[in-house]
Amino acid sequence: MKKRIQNIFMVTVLLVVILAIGTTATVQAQVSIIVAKSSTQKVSKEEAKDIFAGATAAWGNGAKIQVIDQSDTEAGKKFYDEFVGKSANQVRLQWTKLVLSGQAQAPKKCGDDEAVRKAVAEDPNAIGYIQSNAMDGSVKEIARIQ
Amino acid sequence: MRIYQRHLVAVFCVSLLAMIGAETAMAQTPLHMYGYFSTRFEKTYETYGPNGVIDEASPSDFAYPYFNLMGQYSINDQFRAFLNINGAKASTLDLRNFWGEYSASRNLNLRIGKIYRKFGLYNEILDAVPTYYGIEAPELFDADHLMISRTTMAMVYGAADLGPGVFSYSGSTDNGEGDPLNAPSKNSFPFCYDFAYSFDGGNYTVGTSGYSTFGDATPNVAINGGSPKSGVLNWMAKDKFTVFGVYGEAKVNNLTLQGEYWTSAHKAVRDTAKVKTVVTSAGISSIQRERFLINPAAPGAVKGTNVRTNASYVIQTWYLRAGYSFETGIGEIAPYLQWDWYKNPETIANKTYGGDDEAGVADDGIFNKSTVGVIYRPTSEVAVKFDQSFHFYKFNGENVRYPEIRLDFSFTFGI
Repeated sequence: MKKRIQNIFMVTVLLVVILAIGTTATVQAQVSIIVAKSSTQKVSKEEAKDIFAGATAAWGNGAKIQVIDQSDTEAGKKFYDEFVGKSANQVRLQWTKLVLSGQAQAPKKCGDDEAVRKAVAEDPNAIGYIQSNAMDGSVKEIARIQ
Repeated sequence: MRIYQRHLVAVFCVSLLAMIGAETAMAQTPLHMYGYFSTRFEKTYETYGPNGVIDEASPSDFAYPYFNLMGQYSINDQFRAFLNINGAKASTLDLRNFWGEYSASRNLNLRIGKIYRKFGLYNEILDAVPTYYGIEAPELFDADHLMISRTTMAMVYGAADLGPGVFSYSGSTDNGEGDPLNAPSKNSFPFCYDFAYSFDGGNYTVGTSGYSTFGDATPNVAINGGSPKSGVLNWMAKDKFTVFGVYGEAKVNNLTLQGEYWTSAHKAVRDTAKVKTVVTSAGISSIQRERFLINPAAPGAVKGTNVRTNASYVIQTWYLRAGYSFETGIGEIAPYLQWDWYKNPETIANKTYGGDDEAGVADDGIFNKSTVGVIYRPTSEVAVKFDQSFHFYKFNGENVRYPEIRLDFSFTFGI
């Protein structure tokens, strides 16, 4: 009987620990802002925020920034709400305004981290965001957001 | 009617091809085609004519769809080109913009071609109707009473990080308003500038723009050729003028506030023959007759010696807009309010002769306009706008008003 209670206690502790690790992992899910590995662009978090908000449309050398977006995904919505401070819709409208007046290139839409990573890796003027655990050697992280 | 239908079909086909092409073009080439369709229903109720009669305005006007087709082509990081074709009423094509650009850096870019000048909050984005609050242009750029032409030919612009925000500038020049090359004295060198400062990710913007003809400008339409396409009225022989203004925008959470103030000082010389035509044929009011003639009560045909040729006057306008965006399960719903004020003491009512049937009808050339409207965007590509406005002005010593309603539907593609 004592052993049975001990087993139940151990299982409970184990479950609590697993749940705790899971919760911590969810809370600490990080997002990486990425550019191509060959890119020489340097961007601070504030500058990245300006880029995704549509307040800055060109790199320092004058080349137009190609935003690689996944705003239709849950991760994307969260990125705009929590990092950019605007909803994905508001940002999309701002970009539409810039594109219709010739001031910027239209953001390229992707459906998941892998597609974003691939698109960014292929374009030296691109910038995108993916979950940090989806990083690989084809792209370079320039900022990380909790 | 059949011709309209053919044009309509052609417009839809071109746009369909553009939509199909947009996807492939984006993926395979540096060419990107995109744009939007729009159609509008408009109704103006009773208006006041120059003789004090209340006119029944046209019952309603459902505009044929018009569209803007845009294309961007990037040659490399430094060179790119842009094109904006406008199709009005599904029957005419108009090349609104066509320019090439060289970017030395983010701080220094050179654009050559037919370019919307950077001027205030709206000039560059007026063709992007689906993206902003309101259906109508601010009075500064209203086709009936432009304070300045919308395009220029050479523009330098750039941006740089400054403190917590971004500072941007532009300077532009061209041949000048009208036809100064063939004017008696070609001595104009127009210049336009814009300075703006944005911060907090573009949530706050303040700026100033200005323009001077730096010499004599001339009208760019004939006396009975309709609305002027610049700040020079049809009956002028020449005009030296400046435009100056300030603007600001604040986006606080879902609330957007915008405001602009503009003033334009003119030192003009009226053309005697054109003024005689206006006085004889344009149906002007007694107040306007007093303005144009030294002796307005003189009997018989108007004599050239009776025309007042010197005209110094100031046009002013301001507006305030406020919009609030609600994001709901069925899309974005954004109600907005707007108040416009405009004063032009030189204009007349008859639009055929370059007049303005708003300020030109008022005793003192002043009108106010209140607008209330709502935008519904089920998706970011589709916008439906409804607004109602009232014009207020003084007519024959009495305060009068008339209402207008508009319904606008826009559909963007390729973005």
